[in-house]
Amino acid sequence: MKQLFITSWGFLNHRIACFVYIVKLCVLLCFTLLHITPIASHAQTKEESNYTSGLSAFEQAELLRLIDLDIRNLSKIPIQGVLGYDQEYWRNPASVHVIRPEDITLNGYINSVEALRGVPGMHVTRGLSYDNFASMRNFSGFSTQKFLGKIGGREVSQLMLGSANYSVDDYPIAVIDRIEVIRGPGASIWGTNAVNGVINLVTKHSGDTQGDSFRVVMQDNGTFLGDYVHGGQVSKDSFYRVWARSQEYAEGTLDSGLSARDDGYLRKAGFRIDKELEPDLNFYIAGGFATRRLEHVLDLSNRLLVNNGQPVIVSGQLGLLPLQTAKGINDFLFASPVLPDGSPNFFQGTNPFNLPTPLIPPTWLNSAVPGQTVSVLSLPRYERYGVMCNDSAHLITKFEGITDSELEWSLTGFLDHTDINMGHLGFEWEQNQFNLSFDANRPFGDFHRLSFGASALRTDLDVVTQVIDPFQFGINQVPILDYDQAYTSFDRINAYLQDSITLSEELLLSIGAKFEENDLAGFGIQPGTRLSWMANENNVLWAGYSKAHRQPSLRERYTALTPYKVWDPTLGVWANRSYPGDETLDREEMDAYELGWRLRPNQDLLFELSTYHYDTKNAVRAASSSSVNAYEAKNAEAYGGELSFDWRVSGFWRLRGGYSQAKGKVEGVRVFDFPENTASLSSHFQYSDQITLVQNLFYSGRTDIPSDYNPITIPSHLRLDLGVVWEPKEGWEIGVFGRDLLERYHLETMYPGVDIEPARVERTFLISVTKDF
Amino acid sequence: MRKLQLGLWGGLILFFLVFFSSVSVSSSGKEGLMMPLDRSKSNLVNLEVTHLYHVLKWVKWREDDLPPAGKPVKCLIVGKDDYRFSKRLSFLIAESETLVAGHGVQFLNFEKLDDALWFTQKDSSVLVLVCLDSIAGDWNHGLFPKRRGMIVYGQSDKFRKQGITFFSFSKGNRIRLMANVRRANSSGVTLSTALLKHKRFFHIENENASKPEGK
Repeated sequence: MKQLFITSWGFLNHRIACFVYIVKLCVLLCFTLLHITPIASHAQTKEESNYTSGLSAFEQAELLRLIDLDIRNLSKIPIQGVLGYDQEYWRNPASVHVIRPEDITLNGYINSVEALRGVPGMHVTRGLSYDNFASMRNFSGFSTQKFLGKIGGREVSQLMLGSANYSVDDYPIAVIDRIEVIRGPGASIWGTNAVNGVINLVTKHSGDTQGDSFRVVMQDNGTFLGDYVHGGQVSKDSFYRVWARSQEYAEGTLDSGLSARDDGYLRKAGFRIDKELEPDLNFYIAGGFATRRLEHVLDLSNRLLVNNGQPVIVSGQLGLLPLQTAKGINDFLFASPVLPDGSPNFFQGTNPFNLPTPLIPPTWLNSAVPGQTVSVLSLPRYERYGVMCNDSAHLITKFEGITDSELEWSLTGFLDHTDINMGHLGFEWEQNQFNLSFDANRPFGDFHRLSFGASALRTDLDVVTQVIDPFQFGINQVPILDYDQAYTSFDRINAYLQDSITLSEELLLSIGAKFEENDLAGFGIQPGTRLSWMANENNVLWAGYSKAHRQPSLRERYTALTPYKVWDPTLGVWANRSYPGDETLDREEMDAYELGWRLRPNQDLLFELSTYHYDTKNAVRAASSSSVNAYEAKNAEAYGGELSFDWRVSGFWRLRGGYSQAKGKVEGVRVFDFPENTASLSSHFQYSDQITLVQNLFYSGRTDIPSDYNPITIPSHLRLDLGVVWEPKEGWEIGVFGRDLLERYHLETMYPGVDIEPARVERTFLISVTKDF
Repeated sequence: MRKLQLGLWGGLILFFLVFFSSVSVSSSGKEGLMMPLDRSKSNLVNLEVTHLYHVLKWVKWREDDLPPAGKPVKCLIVGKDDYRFSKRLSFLIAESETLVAGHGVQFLNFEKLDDALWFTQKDSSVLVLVCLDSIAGDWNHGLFPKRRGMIVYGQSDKFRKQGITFFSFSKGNRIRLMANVRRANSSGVTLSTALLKHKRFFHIENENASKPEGK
């Protein structure tokens, strides 16, 4: 009883302390916000003439957005939008961040993926020289993403890994219209896999890319990117563009200072033709191909393990010890009466390992890196190099029109071919996808707008695996990744219906559901509802509920992982340690509750707050060491929020920033594989008509990268980028940027299970030259 | 940084505190600030206004028809302005610092068409007459001001075939704009080549009446 009282009192004490702290912070923030409002209002009042009275700050901002559009794009803006489609609508009941091409060039980002770093709620990391990894709002895992990726109208996620390669699918900045980052599930429209959100990259109409444009980016370490776009007019109502990109990836450096051997190149090209068939009937066809070759390392340093009967020593596996370590302490183990920790050595005078001679298999001899050790473990370093190839091509076509009965419709079809060869692992797959989708919306009465659609997707796979050289010994040789060849074709069909309802002048409601039959996830209904309430001319409050599904990837369900071999002292052989995929993995089902607030005290200042609570059943996670499978389903919970602001302090200074908090629990236990706190602050100061000074500050909290072999902790880090952009004449932009200026290097992430130490994210300097059309 | 880890409850408390405090502040703050009305109506007027903003940049007046240097061009908005057409247009013109034929623009509102027409005849600096939907029934062909340099814009389809220079209408959930080249020419104003360049997004009445500038 006393124990209970003490515990309760301690708990209560803690709660009171928390509450007092929260109240203090609230008072401080309220004070700040309420003072910002009058200051900003006052700033406006100085110049405010009669013309602004009667228009809310939201409406003023909306009008300014509209006059920035040219007449072509203005003519596409719907009078009555569909909630969930029109992402930039200020009453949109969702958490949305839109990235414009100038956000990429002005901040010195090399490609569009890097620009996601400034989006609150997103965590972008660089592990190797060539790729940035993007995850959103927690539980994104590492190789599997839990958001939907759409690029140029295509869903780009790979069925095998459940993730997309945005670097390969990326477009030249000049053809990007916008990137919509929608946090939170929009299940009733987007459907399966839009669990944590959606990234939707929209490309421009060919008519908006007429003439020539190029962009060249050179980094001091040798990384290079060059884009060229040419657009022309075929007839009065048809336009075209062609484009090409070449990119060189410089070699990175591992945490220990050793070379990461991850250099390579990317080449890609594409086209788009737009034609107006009739006044209300448009058509386009677009296509492209990409080829990428990169060196990639598989670290072998702890992939031969022996069992010493002792608790965990290094690898995270009970009683398993890397062979090199065993060899290193061999003499000590068998000679000393006590172990290093002082406990009795039961192996004294024996050779319980019965290890073969030579200890290291002959096939490994070519893999040894002379004179190098793994810094963390002080082990000899063994590595296997392979080329990672990524070849892809796609073709997409879309018809869209409006009928006399105000039915807006579009018919989209695409073909997509991908060939990915992970040469370092001996795993290759070809994926062909065929998609056909129909989307439409039309008004019903004065207060309803009904949107509906259907789509079918066929995915064919051809997987080739091989046992890589270092593992060609021992009994029953198997590849590191072994896909069950029984499943090579997958179908997905779905349909959706959603109604956008104007309940009153202040209340907008959307309600709908997506119905889907999926070979990987079965039949499911994903309902969603969102409500937007305009409380007054400065405040919009919104709420949403969605039930979203995510299908398990083929890697999670059908692929066996054999990451290492273990010495079997009884049989005297190296035996494989395999973790099969789990065919029983069901679809993940998430109930998502969101609440948001948009405050615009005046046209120059916008605050947004989004909060969420996700409750996920069957969340697929990398399995714990006690599991026989590589992945397992757990019940998980995530909650948090993002606070962001966009403030045009004056005509020449714009500040943007955000803070995000994301917490996660798996089966009630806190997890830290996503930083709990991230923040960013971006300043654009126009020094003169031609010169803009750019400052970007990013903070990321601590992250734990789980792994059975070598779990690591990435410490929190602060990153500062500074740049100067000079616009010598209209359409030209020359930028000089310094990135990661606060420290020589820091760590952000690594491939668990493939790498044994993370690569450095080093301080770099780059110059970019951009010519717009 | 750890101190910033508020947690969900802290965030929610903060959320509601600041929300309701700002609601009360902003509700009482500005006198005469009206709530936007029906969503699609507001969007409609925003789009109409933005189209008209572009149109004003495409019209060229003769020097003789313009007011003296330093004097503003007057734009009359006629009709019941429930959706603040006038405020929206004047906001766009002011924020973008747009000049019409090198002159600033002064906006004047009239409820009745007769009053506006009388003012138009009286003041030669009135060059733009915007007829809102509410007075469409009062308008007819013969009311077009018989004075050089005038352009008249009608807010709805009801102004079709009514002999005005421009009118906008909604079709297929989009705003379309109709320009009457003959009327423009007869009023002594020229439509710039930019209009023809954007012909795909406009409808042009009496296109063959005469060639626009530069052709």
